[in-house]
Amino acid sequence: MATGRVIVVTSGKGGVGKTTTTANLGMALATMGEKVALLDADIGLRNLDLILGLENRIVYDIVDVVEKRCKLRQALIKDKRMPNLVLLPAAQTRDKSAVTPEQMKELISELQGEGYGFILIDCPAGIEQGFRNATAGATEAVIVTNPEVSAVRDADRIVGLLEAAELRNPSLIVNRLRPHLVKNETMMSVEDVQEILNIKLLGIVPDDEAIINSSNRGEPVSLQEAAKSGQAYRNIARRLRGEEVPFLEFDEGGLIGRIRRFLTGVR
Amino acid sequence: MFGFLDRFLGRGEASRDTAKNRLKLVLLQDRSVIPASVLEQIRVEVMAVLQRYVEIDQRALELNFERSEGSVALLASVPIVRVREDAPQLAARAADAAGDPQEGGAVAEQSAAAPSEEAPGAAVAGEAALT
Repeated sequence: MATGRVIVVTSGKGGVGKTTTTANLGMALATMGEKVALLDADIGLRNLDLILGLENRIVYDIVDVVEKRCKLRQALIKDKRMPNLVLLPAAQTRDKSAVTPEQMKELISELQGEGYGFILIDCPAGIEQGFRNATAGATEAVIVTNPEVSAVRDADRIVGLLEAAELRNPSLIVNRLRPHLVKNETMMSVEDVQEILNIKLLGIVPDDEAIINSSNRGEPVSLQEAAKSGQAYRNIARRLRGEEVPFLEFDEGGLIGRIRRFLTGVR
Repeated sequence: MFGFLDRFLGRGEASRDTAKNRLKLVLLQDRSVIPASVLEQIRVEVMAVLQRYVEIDQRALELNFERSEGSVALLASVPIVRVREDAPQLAARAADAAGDPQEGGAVAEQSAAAPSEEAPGAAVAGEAALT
């Protein structure tokens, strides 16, 4: 019986960190022993493969599966670090209309049949067909936003559209938080964003140079023990599994923190 | 640091608060269930009725739909410049024409109680639940 959880990672606005979030949550869940499938629904603009460092291993993609040029299993790319993590890549040379919501649903139930406990869908930016495809087979939604006016506005729109698509109670990840800017009152706080969107908070991820590095290398930051953002993603993964994990505190208190802030400026 | 300095030197509110307030306002519009064109027509018609009895500051008139907890409310803020002197008579006549003298009487009384001369800054706020 298919019982795997199907979670769409969405945002409305582009560039807020959907793909990075999908990659890191998938990797973190796999590290915790879950059987995870990541599905890149951003047809025409595939990137999840690159963030995971699997770009050189793609033979077939989601459209090949849908158009029956290959079996689902043939298109799934096994992660080199975590054998219980697989990626179904998007097609790069097609567009969003290459897949229909119905086909998406079929694909997902086939993945569930393969025993994946978590199926994470990386949704494209926007609210058009790509969004409808990505949300079609999902049973849960995670909204990624940044503490910034345009990202929050788009997230609010997504909340409404998800509701219309019968995906209720989405949870929120506030990504790219810069704690010192919040302290200086030049950035909205997590509480501000949450007050405006009024949905359950799933996690807070700080803006972190380690993420740029990890994207460059194709190694999700959640594999890095020391990185603060990696810790944040691992915590979110644990919360997805039902654990109660307190939210990270980012305040760099104490003399050293103050000196560091003084020397490095606002960041 | 700079945000703090700005405020310390009296250069306005924190941009964090500005962001929050601007977002709240724009989301009120975004979440509105009624298209702007319809809202505009409602505004014009409501104004036409009100203007029979009171002089209105048209530019300051605000009309918005707000959604909360599954219900929708129409919120109007209508700044009144002056109540027309013949408002009670007009109301009585309108009520007669509508064939409902009792309600007309009540309106006339209310209007008579209001200062018939200049009432700067006075505002009528109406709220009507739709669902």
